[in-house]
Amino acid sequence: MTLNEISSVREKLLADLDTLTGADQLVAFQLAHLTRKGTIASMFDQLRDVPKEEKPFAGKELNALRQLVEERYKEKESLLGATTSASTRSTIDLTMPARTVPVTSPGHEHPLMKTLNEMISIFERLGFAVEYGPEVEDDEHNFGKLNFAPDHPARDMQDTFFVKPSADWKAGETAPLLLRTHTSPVQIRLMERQAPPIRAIMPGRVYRNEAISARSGVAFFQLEGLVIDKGVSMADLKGVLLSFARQFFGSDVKIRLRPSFFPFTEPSAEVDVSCYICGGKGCRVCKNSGWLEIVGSGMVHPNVLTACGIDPEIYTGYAFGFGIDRTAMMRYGVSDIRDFFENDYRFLEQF
Amino acid sequence: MRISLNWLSDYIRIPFTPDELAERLTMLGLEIDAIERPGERMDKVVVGEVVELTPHPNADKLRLARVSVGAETPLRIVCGAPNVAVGQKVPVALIGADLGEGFIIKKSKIRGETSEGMICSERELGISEKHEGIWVLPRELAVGSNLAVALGLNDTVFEIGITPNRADCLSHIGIAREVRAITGEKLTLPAPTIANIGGALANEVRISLPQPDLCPRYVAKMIRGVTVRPSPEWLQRRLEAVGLRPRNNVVDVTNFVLMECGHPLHAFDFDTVEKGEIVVRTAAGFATEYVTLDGKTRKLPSDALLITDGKKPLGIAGIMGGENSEIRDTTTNVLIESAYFNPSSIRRTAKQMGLSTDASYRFERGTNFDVLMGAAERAAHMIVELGGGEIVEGLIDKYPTALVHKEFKFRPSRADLLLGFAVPRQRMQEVFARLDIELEQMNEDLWELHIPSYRVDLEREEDAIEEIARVVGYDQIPISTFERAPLTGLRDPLKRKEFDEILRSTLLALGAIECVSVPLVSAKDAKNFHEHPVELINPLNEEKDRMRSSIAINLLDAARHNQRFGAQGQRLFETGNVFHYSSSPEALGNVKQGAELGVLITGVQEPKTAYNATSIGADIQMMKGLTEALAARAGIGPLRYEVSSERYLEPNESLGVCAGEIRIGNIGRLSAAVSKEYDLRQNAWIGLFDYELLFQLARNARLKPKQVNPLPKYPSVERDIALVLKSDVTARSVEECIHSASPSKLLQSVRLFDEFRSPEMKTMGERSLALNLVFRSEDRTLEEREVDDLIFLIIKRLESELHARLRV
Repeated sequence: MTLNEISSVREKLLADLDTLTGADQLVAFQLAHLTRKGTIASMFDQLRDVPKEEKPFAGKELNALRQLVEERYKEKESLLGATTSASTRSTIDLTMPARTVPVTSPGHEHPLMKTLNEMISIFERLGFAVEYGPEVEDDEHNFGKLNFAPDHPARDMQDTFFVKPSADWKAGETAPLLLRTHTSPVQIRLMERQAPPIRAIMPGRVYRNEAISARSGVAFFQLEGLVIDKGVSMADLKGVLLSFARQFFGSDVKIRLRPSFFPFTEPSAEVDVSCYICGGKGCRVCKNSGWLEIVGSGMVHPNVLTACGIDPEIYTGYAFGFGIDRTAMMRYGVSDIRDFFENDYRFLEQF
Repeated sequence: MRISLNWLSDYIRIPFTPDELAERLTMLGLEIDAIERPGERMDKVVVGEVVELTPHPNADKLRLARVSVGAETPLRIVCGAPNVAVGQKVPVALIGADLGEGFIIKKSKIRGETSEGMICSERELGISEKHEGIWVLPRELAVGSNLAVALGLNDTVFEIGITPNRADCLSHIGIAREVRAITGEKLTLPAPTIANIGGALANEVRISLPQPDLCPRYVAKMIRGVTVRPSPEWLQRRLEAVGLRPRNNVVDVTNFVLMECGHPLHAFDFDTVEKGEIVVRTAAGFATEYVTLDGKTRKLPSDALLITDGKKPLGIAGIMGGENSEIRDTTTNVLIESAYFNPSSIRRTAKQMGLSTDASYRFERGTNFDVLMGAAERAAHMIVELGGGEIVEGLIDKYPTALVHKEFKFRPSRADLLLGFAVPRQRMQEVFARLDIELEQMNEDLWELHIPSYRVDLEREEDAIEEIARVVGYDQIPISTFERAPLTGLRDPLKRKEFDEILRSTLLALGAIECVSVPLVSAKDAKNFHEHPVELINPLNEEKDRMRSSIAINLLDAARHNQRFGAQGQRLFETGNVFHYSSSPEALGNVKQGAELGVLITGVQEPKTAYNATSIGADIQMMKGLTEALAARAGIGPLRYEVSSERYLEPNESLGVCAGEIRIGNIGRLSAAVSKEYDLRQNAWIGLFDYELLFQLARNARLKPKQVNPLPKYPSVERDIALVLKSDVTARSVEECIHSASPSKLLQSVRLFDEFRSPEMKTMGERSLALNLVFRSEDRTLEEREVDDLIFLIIKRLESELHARLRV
């Protein structure tokens, strides 16, 4: 027996191990090579015939061989665990006690959820309750009660996925359902259910039937806020958003409100926060404007309050809505929104 | 919407730089998306005249031009363009001109001849893509003048994002009115003379509006004897600046008026109108298809509004004209239509036909019904000016029922309340005046506002309050520190967010990666997990036409993706809503929706390290470990496992997970069939849990806190036993057998700590289990002998019931 022979046995056994696909083959391999009468043991027996001066080298090599093959065999065994043939599968004992889950690296929080949860926590500290609602919605809650007229072009701002309300539904039977295009229907459901005062946020997933690109996907996350009480004004809205912005973006940021349009608020405002990267001087992130658009907002439209049975002469309120994905993109320097939904471990392990 | 600063300046003085104007408009609610300067490259480009042309001594394709640019001696310029000729006016880039992308004109020698500038093509100046030869300029331009100035290209063009409510801002006059709101400067608007209604025109054209709800007003003008030809340079440049392609003087004028005042006009070749009849009616029972002026044959929805002559369609009202009535080079008699159409009707038809035009875009947002006569007259006068001919005397205004001008009440105090600060009343009046809103004071705190017809968006008090706020400036709104609306919401013992954090933090601490996926999936994938997945009516594509019926679909996608990129082992989770049709009616149709928690493990779970010699792969016991850790952190349990028969799991390697009698989920190895669909190279174990149920159980647990056991007073005694059993004897039956053999309360716990199969055992279908038994009494210290007796009984029971033998 020469060193060459040992190394060729090593190659062969490792190659054989690679081809094993089931527990029965594993057993066969073990019986053939790893038992007291197996290949490796018999090679130890042959050590006797090796010339004296080569013995220590051959012995060392053989020991290494045995260790390696046994190691690889165990790895293979645990990997194949249940890649077993039908006959042996029935012998798996499902009542064996649970295995402790080995933890070799910290878990990785999804950046969208991380962003969303940090935002929720800030609003919770500001005294907001958290409310949820269905993703499959009806027209009345997603549009009608939010002051979208049936044929109004404002509906074009939000391309909608429609959903069959039942498996055997035919067009024209009943109105289709839809995937909510914003979290605003949760506002409606909350106001229908609860009389003012109201102070709540509504995080959740929304859908738009738009071409998928680096800047927009078909499903993303929003966080809306709603406050209704006597005497609520735009100054309160500004106060809450400034407080949020300073907790989330940094204690020295500024905000500004710009007039805008949403069917469910009047007056309406886009809210910009001074760029927290460059401090407002202008950089790539804020496209040299010094400002980042972070949230749409406004005073709840009287038609919306009326639709929910709240008297707009007695109560006023404000609402705001963040796009979580855009915020997370800015936050972590993600340039393609699709990165959030690929679930690529090389991306997620960075968080 | 593209707005040219030069054009805008025709109507109002602008005391701002372009950047300042952009900032002011943005803060007024007109967001400037981009600013372009088309003449940017023409700083040192002038109008030249070619005075002499000689062959280049050293090159066949080049020529030497002498070009006068107003200086005493003409410039010498080497030129390779085939179309250059003596007497032409041409654009000349002087030495030092910067044509963009680092191309700066220098004095140079080309094949031995000095060149003191460059004669340019349109592409070289960034005007268009034309590059076949040099740009031959109109003869009337003065030699030596700056080209940008001479052509009106020294302009700034703003790309403005107009929100859908502000139809009135879709024109230059519209933006000029907004500038007035900022500055208070006077507007200078075109004021064409408006002819008397009727007149000679009434004898030539008869309009009927059988459906006045869809077309409440129709104004017409006519020009006879016009010559259709290209528009003059200035008009072409204006249209190009706002992104329109010049066609001919008649069509260009209607587009000019559109971009000037925002009202879409249409010009017909009057000779195609049979007997001078115009009937505006729906397509139902009249026409089913029609060739529009882009040459396409289009199906007409039955409620599409058409312009017809009673015999045939002439155009699709408010959307697009037709090929049969369009203005051609041979047209001489032109009928101008200036009408108001019902916005909803136009929008429905445009949507159904999948056709959106500059006209439909405006009509569906609502146009100004008071501008119809002015717009028609403006166009008629311009057409005659540019194309000759004569306006037929008179004007038709078919207007059966006058449209209503809006008016509503406004309380200054209400504005104070909503805005959180008091705007001085005089300032409010000034703002309204700048917006053409007339007001009547009923009393100090009750005004009546009369809204100009172009402001289709102003309907009620809050709209007017926004007008005050945006003109005064949102930056004037103070920042309130006091908080209205005290804390509300359910006072839950466990809030959903808090519960969510428990699940997430547990899984994260267990080293899992959190996934977030798009919940739209294919029918095939969805049906693996539920027979009746929820279906989209208008999916983005056929492959994504169902809502996910399980989180597993997304996790398997992720696993496949990561496998492709070399992941050895994966431990993934995601929470989110899943959907299916249920047989019982749900809150919304038959759609059952609720959250699910999905966990997936596959491949190496613990790689080989310095501390463990072999890697550990995923298996069902590890999935149980994950499940039990989750349940424990959420306060749910104790857990019980039962048989699971989910189709997507391998039948003998899956378990139903129960908390008491409630089934909270399933765990197991993904079936070989589904695994194959995802091309998974390694086995995957998945756990799917009803999130809503878990939440409910966790909430209940909060309400019934666990009561502690008193600490033991006496020491315990431990014994290990190792058994050899047939492989099909389950671990649970061994534990149960041990418990049943020791009826006293002395046996505290049984813990299986080793499983072993020697090759010999394998061939015999056996395995060895080693168990740790703990005994303790609550009222005394146990003696060794007592424990020995108990162990003896237990082993006897194991031998007789399970045919176990002690391993020695």
